[in-house]
Amino acid sequence: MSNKLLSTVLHHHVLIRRRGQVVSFQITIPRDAVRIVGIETGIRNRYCRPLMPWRRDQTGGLLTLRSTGSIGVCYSNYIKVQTNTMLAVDLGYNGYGSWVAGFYSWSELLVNAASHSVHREPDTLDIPAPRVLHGTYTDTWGISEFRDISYRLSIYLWVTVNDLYNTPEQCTAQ
Amino acid sequence: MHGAIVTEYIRKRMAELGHGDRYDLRLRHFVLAAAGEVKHCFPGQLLVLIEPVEMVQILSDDGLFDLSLVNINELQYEHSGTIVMKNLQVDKPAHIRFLQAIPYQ
Repeated sequence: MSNKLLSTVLHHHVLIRRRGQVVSFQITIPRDAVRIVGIETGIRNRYCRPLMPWRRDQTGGLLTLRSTGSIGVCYSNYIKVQTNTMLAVDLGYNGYGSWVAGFYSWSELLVNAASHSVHREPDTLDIPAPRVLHGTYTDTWGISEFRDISYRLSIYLWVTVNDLYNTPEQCTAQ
Repeated sequence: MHGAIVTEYIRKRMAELGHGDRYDLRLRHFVLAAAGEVKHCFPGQLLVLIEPVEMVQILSDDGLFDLSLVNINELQYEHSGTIVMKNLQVDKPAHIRFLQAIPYQ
């Protein structure tokens, strides 16, 4: 029976639709996760289009995470609407093909549609894996734009997994 | 929230936090003046709202409780850390009751 520690990524989406909306959500952590080692966030258009309204200070809202195993906040940060001018190139688009695909020359307006790109690093969130992470996201982008903006907040949790639970015997028993 | 549920919730929650039964319970009843605002700090302690209170906003490290909000999908009954309580009524005081759990350490 192997007892290896592997790393994987958990993914969670939060949908924002109204100005100043406060969204509470829960992220259930699998039982084989032993530690959360990093967090990566990104904001993208609700309809997966690359174009998003421009934002001067590049922040979309405040994300707060609380672990059930401790009192208080374990992660709190303003989520950036980061531009990714390398995205079109990464996908092999250039010239007219890039324009057809939705990547314009004024590509500062491109939202970071692909987290986990080579240009980003996860924030450090080093805690024992709880059963549930409680999260709250408060939109500030819509407030500053004076209108409702629909977008999706993507949360990627980098976790360490104990492979003991993933042996064939365990899987058969379940 | 019913008082018995609050007590049971705190018992389970403190066990989950590793305190077991090593904690004190206090009933706190805050009175806010009309349009008043108070700020308290309860580091490492749990305060659970015993009953929903209208026209009051409770903001803490754990979240927000405000029945007048429409842009929120969930309200928090459990609070800790720095708690700011605000009375949204301008003509009469507000009463807020918490059950407070204070761990020994």
